[in-house]
Amino acid sequence: MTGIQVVGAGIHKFGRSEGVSGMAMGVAAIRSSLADAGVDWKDIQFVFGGSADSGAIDSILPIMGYTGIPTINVANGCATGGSSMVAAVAAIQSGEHDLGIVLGYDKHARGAFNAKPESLGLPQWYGEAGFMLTTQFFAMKIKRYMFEHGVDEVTLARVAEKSFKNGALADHAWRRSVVGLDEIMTSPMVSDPLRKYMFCSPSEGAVALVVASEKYARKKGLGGPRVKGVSIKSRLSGSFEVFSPAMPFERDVSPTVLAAKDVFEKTSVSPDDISIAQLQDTESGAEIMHMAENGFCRDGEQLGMLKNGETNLGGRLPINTDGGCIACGEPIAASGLRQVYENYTQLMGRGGKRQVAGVRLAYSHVYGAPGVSAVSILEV
Amino acid sequence: MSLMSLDKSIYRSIGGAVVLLANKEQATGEVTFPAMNCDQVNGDELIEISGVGRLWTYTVQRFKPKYPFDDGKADSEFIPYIVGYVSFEEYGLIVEGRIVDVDPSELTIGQEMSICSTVIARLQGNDIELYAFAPLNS
Repeated sequence: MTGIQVVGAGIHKFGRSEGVSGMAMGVAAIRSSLADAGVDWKDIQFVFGGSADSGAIDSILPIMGYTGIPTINVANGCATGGSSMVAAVAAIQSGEHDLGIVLGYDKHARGAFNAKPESLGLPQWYGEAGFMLTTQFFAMKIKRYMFEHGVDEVTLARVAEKSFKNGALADHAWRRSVVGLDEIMTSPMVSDPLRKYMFCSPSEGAVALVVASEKYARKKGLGGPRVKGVSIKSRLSGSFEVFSPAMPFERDVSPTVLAAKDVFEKTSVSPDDISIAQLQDTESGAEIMHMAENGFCRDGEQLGMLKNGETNLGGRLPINTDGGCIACGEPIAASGLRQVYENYTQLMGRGGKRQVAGVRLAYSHVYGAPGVSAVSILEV
Repeated sequence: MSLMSLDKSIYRSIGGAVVLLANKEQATGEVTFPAMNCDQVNGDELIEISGVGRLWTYTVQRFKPKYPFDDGKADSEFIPYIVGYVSFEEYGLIVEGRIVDVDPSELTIGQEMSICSTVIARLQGNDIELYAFAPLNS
């Protein structure tokens, strides 16, 4: 099978950038990814990616140059970046292309996302009655998880504390200040049991990754981590997903469990082999549940792992090394690619003060409405 | 279907008791809620979900949601509300809804819940009701 490498990566700082459009951030990320890779725009053979609120990615062409390449818009909610990555890998593996860009950018209004019921096949009354909020779902999923597996509120706060600590060390992060455990634990309740500092906020930002076949990279003298494996899966009928008026009593595993199992089987990598992991942390409960869903611990072990600092930068398995969504905010289409950008940065040894020693295998995971998970493993 | 035109097609009050209207697929016995129009799902039977369920999970909506949420009130008059899921094991279903007649601090996962209805908005001069759940014996 054709090997694939990430040969360059670019990012536009996450957070608020007044007066800069989502598209302009996307262009800035593309330019820095090309410079990082050492390739020209005219050599790029495709762009796959998306933006949820900032228009079609084709709008970069008037600025970057009309070269006739295919651009494909991906719209998979918060899993847009991960999905674009999977599509790019498939395009290169098929032999159709040798060099392309995976792109995600977004710029959202302040406040919680307001999804439209009809866009997800739901009746209008479901939104009007006040059920159409991702924040509610996250709160109810972790509430049930805490009941079943004994995770407590201090563990939720420890996740957020770690996120802000890591974010303070990442140039591209939005929240750059450390927030103490007490301040997190006493911040206003938003959706019980989740408090203000435990949630990520919609934000702005862009990421571009240059991906190439190993053969092309060798020929042109390009370097970078290998894409060891990727997987994307959607929900089963009995998994607990966002925006569900009802669900079967018999429970199924989540799409994350399916995607993680698939990527570990395909690559013959064990979760124990992973050096660092970037896990979808729309709020601290999500990071806790995704630790188990991705296979990094058993249900309930998170309590001890967080208490012992095992997921801190110096720990056994550092998680969300740039502060994740909690510190970076979430520009929907760029967020999953930020995870891969961070893995690339760590694998290249460019993490600065947040660099983890001896990173060899780096894992990323995104989850998007209404029940899609995409994962990747990069290797040096 | 909007709240204004909800028309009791997803729940019904019978002599003070509230039942939810669901579809049961004849081949598999699988129950789905809310019920869809019968011409949309050929071969499905319309059934009523009634009786006692158990609280499966819950949260409190403490900030006013954006559009299309509509309670007919000014932003300053928003009242936080409880949202939860209640399981009905014999129907093989867990249903989402408002939780009423209780302080959230008094809720316990697993406790028995009954089906009721509650006014959730006042739109164009009309009280708009929706099915809801309340602790049994509350």
